[in-house]
Amino acid sequence: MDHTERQTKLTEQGLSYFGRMSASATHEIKNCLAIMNENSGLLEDLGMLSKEGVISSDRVNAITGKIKKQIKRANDILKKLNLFSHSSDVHTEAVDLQEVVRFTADMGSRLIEMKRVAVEIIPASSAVSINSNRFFLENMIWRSMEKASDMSGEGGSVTISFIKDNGRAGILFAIQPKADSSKEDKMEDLFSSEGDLVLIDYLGLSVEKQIEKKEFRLLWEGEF
Amino acid sequence: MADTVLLVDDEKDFLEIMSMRMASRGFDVDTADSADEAMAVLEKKDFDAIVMDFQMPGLDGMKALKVIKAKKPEMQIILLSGYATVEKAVEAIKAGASDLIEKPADIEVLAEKIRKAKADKLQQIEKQTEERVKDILQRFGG
Repeated sequence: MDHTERQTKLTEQGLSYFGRMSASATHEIKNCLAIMNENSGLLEDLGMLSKEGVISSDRVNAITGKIKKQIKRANDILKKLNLFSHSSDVHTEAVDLQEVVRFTADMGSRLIEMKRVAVEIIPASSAVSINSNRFFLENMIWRSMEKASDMSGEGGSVTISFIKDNGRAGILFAIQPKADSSKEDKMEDLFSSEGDLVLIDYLGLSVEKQIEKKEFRLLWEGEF
Repeated sequence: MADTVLLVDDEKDFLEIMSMRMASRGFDVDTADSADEAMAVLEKKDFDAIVMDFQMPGLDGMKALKVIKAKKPEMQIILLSGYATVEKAVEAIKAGASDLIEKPADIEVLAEKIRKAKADKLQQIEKQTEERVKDILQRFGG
């Protein structure tokens, strides 16, 4: 693949990731609006059903409380989406891997929830900083989370922890499929698509797989 | 007799309020917060219509629709979606959905769709019964 083809592939990966996250976030906002719509409709119903249109203050407070909860939820989603949209503002910057992993997991939480996989992030004792392009790093972390979740399967779990030793920094994904899972092990084919390889190359990282342990690592070498 | 509806959505607040509003419009409403739970409810009770969210954890609305239609072809299923595109609507109708409605939905529109779904279900059952009777008569020379 020449430079132009790699750039095109990278852009495609980025657009696809951005589209996926935006669609998920806006879908969740629609759910918030639907709940607010039902609550405001309920207020109307109660007003029409009650004599002289009077509704008890307890009832009104309960309903407005539910509307406020959804306003907060929608606001939190929009804040995340806004932060996410700014991920590509700077080409390269110092980023804390823990913070980026947490943010990426939060951004894609609804999609992971759909797969019914539990994702646990084990904090490191200190910050694990690298220089990277934040947007494509989020993209790579998301791909890793999604692949790990797919391998774990419904009812399974994924544990994410951090590595910082001897000139290496990285992220470890440990996959725990459900005990009775018949999920096929696809670890060998992991990160072998053109899109994966372009992203790995762009971010200057290496992927280490430990098939027996059902683990893989994203690793950067240098002084951290 | 009241029209019976099974509401299926993973948003519990939505289920709670929607079921209250449907009940105040004379519907007999049961709820399920996942497709798996809906399947379990359907084993025990029949409904005039099912109103189900398109996107849910685990078995999503579209897959659940196919499973239910395979078991109960006469079941009327209305899907709810955050984004009801033409493609999605075509896919849903092809898979046997009665309708696809975008969220937030107007409750009066939804109530009307459920009533229509019930009428369609009755019509389908009548048609099936007529065909069965015709078949029996032909076979036994009536």
